[in-house]
Amino acid sequence: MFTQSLDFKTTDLDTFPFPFTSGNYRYSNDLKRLSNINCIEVTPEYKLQVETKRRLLQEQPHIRFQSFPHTMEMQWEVLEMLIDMAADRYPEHFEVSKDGDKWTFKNHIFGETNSFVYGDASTLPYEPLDYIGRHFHNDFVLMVHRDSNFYLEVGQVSYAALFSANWNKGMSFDEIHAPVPFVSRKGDELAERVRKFLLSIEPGKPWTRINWNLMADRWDVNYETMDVWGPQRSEITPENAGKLVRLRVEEQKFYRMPRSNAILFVLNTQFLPLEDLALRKEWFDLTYSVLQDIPGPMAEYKGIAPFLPQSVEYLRSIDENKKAKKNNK
Amino acid sequence: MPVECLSINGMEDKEEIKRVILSQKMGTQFYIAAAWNNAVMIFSLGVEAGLSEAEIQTVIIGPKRRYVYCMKCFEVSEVKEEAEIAECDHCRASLEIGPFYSIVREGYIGYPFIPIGKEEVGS
Ligand code: HEM
Ligand SMILES: [Zn+2]
Repeated sequence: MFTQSLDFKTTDLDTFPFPFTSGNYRYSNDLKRLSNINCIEVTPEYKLQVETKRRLLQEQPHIRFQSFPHTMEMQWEVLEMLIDMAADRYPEHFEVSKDGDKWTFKNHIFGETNSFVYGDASTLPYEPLDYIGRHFHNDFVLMVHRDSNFYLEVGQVSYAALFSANWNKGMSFDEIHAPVPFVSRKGDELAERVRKFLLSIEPGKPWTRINWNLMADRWDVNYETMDVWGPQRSEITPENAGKLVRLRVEEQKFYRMPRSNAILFVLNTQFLPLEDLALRKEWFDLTYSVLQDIPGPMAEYKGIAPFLPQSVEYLRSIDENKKAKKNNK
Repeated sequence: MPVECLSINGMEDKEEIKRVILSQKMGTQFYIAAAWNNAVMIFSLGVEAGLSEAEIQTVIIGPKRRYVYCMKCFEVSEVKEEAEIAECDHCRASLEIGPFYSIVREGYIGYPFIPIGKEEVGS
């Protein structure tokens, strides 16, 4: 059975999508144009993350992948886009040959070759998005556009922060975000504004934002295992927070699919233990400042309320040690 | 008064139901008289189509039934109208009944928890 204890962190800090740009954090429409539109990324942790993801999909298929039967054609469109991006960016790792609708996809990192007929799902071991998603470390969610809203119709979710493909299946953008205390700096409701913004996204011009959370010694926190991680959160102390608490970031990318008109939501999830923040002084200072200033409802919603004070206390002691050393010099 | 009749078989008629709701004049009041599950479905579609909750009046025919969707085993159980917690009929998990409803799952979310006194020894 999959153990949730976390056995990986980002080691190449240049690839870590650090979330904070100022010393306090509030919800906002923080979408920005994505500069490198290719979402495929191979980091030093690629193999570990993909293997973990495959194991979760194998052990918990109903939790980790959900789709409606009418989404096949849209899923093929996603498969095509991801394969083309992978082969384009990393020709040494991924290769595709297309002979009419007879395609062969090679993943050299795993030494795998699959041949299939494009458009014929019976020639693949899984549904098209579930199949191609098992070659990349990201989560993939397809939001289908209907009457000015988006509906979650396909989801492969292996890193959840209160995200369940099973529970959220079929829900609209607004329903999905109903639990979020979505209040901006000005105090207005954000969900409607963000949904309208998503409606304006055009093919070939993806957008991006970074979401963040803290995790107490877990790979993910989902509704399905709330009985387990709920009580565990209080085991965090200022002494162990540096190792056990990770800053968890989701780099989110939003693509308008040209044929289906759906929005493909791609997530790159990375972790950094609090103790590694010291490797970049600016990251340490911003995180320390942000965590001291989290509004109560946000901490409750994110599920970090039971260990946030211990985490801040840990950062404070590191900060004081640093200052003391400086003064002694 | 003109009458329009639409026969509804379930969620597969979702778009049609929303179309009818959307084609009404501004300020129209909606009255739902239905069994609990059907009422919840139409109510949610009304809200999705942009009605405010104040514009919808609901009369439940028959018992007021609520269902909770168990996040452990993905089955629904019937629960008492005022219940805040419940036990799953299928896997016996203790569930806290949340405020969110899924049209697809036909129930309110049930967050699993371990009741005090039932923690496993040693964990
Ligand atoms: C269209 C694709 C999107 C999907 C499928 C999606 C899905 C989700 C889900 C499942 C949650 C957790 C809800 C829960 O607690 O049950 C969430 C939270 C949230 N979403 Fe989205 N989202 C999308 C787009 C966006 C966009 C464009 C924004 C831009 C502002 C956004 C902002 C947020 C925020 C601020 C939270 C709270 C997260 C936290 O504080 O940890 N989402 N989203
Ligand atoms: Zn159950």
